[in-house]
Amino acid sequence: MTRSFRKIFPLALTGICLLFALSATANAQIYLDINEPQMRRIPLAIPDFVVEATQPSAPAAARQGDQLLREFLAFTGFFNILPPQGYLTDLGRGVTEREIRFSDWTAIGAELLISGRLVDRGGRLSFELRLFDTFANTVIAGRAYTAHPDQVRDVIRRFSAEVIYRLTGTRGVFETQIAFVSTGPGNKEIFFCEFDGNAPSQFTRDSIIALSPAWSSDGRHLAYTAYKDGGPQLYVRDISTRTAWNIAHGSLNITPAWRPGAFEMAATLSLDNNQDIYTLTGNGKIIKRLTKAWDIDVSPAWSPDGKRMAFVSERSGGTHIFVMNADGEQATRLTFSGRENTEPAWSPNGRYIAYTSRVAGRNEIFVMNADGSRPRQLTGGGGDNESASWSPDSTLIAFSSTREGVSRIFVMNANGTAPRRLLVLPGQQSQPAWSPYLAQ
Amino acid sequence: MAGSPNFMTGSIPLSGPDRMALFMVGLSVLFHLLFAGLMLGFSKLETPRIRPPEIIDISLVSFPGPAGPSAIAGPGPAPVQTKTAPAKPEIRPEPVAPAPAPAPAPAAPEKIGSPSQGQEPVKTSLKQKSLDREKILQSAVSRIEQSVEQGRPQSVTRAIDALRGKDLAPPQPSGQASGSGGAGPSGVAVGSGGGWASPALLNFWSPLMVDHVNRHWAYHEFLVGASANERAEVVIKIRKDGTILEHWFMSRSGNERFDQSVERAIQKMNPVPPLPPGYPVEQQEIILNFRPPKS
Repeated sequence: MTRSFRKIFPLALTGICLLFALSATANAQIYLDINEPQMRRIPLAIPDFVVEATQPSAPAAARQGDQLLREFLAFTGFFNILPPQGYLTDLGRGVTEREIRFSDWTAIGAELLISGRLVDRGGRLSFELRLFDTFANTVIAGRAYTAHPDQVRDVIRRFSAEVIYRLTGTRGVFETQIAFVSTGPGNKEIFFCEFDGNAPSQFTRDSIIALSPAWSSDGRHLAYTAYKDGGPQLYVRDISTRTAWNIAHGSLNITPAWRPGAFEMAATLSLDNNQDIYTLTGNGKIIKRLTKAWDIDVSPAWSPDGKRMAFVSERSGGTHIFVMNADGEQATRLTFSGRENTEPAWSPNGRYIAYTSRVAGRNEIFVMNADGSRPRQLTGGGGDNESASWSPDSTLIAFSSTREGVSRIFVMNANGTAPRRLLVLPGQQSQPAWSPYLAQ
Repeated sequence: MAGSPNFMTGSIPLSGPDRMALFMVGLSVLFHLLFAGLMLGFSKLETPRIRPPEIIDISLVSFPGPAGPSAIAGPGPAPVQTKTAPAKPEIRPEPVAPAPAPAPAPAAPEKIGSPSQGQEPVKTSLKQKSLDREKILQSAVSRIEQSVEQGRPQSVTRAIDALRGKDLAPPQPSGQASGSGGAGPSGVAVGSGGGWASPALLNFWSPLMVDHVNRHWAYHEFLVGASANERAEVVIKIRKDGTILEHWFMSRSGNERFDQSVERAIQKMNPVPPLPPGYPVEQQEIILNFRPPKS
């Protein structure tokens, strides 16, 4: 037994090695890291709505509805709306999960599908809209809206908000507005438009220079700076009644910023010939002086919890972004690159601070983590890009840019991709301010 | 005669000043009516849109739970769906270590503790290629195992098992190659100790495969909401021609949105690039380690 073992041992050892090698190759699991998805938007199919309503206005309402739905959801930057001409089928078989053949939609790569049908209901149109997960063959959201044909935009806005809510837990940007400054009337006045630039309207008609619009966190008041009687004063205007009152302390009152969840604001005042940041009530009563440096301190921007504040200061040489507690204590410098960093805007989710930085003679928008780490440039390619303002869900940034020659309002994804012009109006537009949610 | 009554008509003739006064009164009334009309018009301009009836909003779907943040995939208690391999456990059980004295195979009575105990079809093909040698080897292995079983260190046992592919732990999450099987580009690792005759071809295939998976993975950081340290490991079993036979989650990320994006990617990417020509097995298991991209 021992002898035979000795004879066979060298051969066995060689064989074992060979066997192990072959076996290892044959059975080894190949291990691959996957961390660079090339589809950064979710493929979504929105076929034309099915018209079963008999009202003469139904076909036009359906066309308007499916087109608006594609535009609204594409605006979010979340979705890749697959072009309808590439669809293998339409919704002729039906619009419910039992009637839809999901393989027709997974075959073209659609991960989500929205079906729409218009039917008569009590003399009005009823829009039946459903969102499906095509791979799970399940319905994610479904609503029926009974409305008049001239309410198609409202219907689609509501359903778009429902889609985003079902997917993310937030309402998206569909029930928001953007305030901005326009020179269209001949002087700088404040205008409003819907989230996508639709329906612009003039808000102030003071025939004076109006700047720096700032929404209160409940969306009921707008503060802004107006040059009246020579020097800049703060104005607060009730948006629904349009009644206004001014706040004037000293020779300069600028850059208002409402404290989240309170009828208070921070602003830059110059009571002793030095520009410092103060907190005030919404009626203008000074609460506290927050900065006391001999240099300029301006442009306060609250953190979403109202406990901290970013601001611009020249206290360290150059113009840089700092943060401090809401009581003015523990000021910390955040930016260290460049010599001119201004206009901080704290993201509503609290994670980032966007700001404007001077780069190679041009203003560019940057974003950094709220602790000052990882600053990265979001804009480039031409013109001055400045005055960043976050959407309330922190996914989009509005800004003004001169990339087309005159200053216009643009919107980009929060990572700097897909910048698109919001609207074209006479004159120049600047200083956008994205509202909070304004749902009824 | 101005001012005297006209008895024929019953009217009282008006004097010049009276006519003027009447004219002024009429003008005043006209002016006021015009003003009121203008004011009414302006007030309509201020409210240009007559408020339409309220939109009636009815839900067509009833969800079993509260309307959570995500019905498609949320961190809530929604059940995890298993589409392609419902019978598979979520985490595949580790292969059982070979028994000390397994039953001999019918064709080879001496084959105790045969490597084919793992019932991997790939080993069947290997047997066909080296049947005589394998008999000898298996016999030797069984004897060695019987003789040294008691005194063999556990590490040796594990190493042999690993080489047999029965307990092949994946490499570290960093994606570095852990064996000599050859590593492709960054993030590509081929499991331990590969001795295949053409590892270069596998190194060429691996980035193709990684690119293929990445191209089918739709990921939006806000919709998925994954944190940087989340990851999901999916095992796919493919044929040589690239057809995915089955797949299952070896480990989930804990973020259902993330896992569902992975699930959709797997379903969309079938078939994957075929294995290199001459690849020695008919089926291959691949572990895909999905991690959120760097933002």
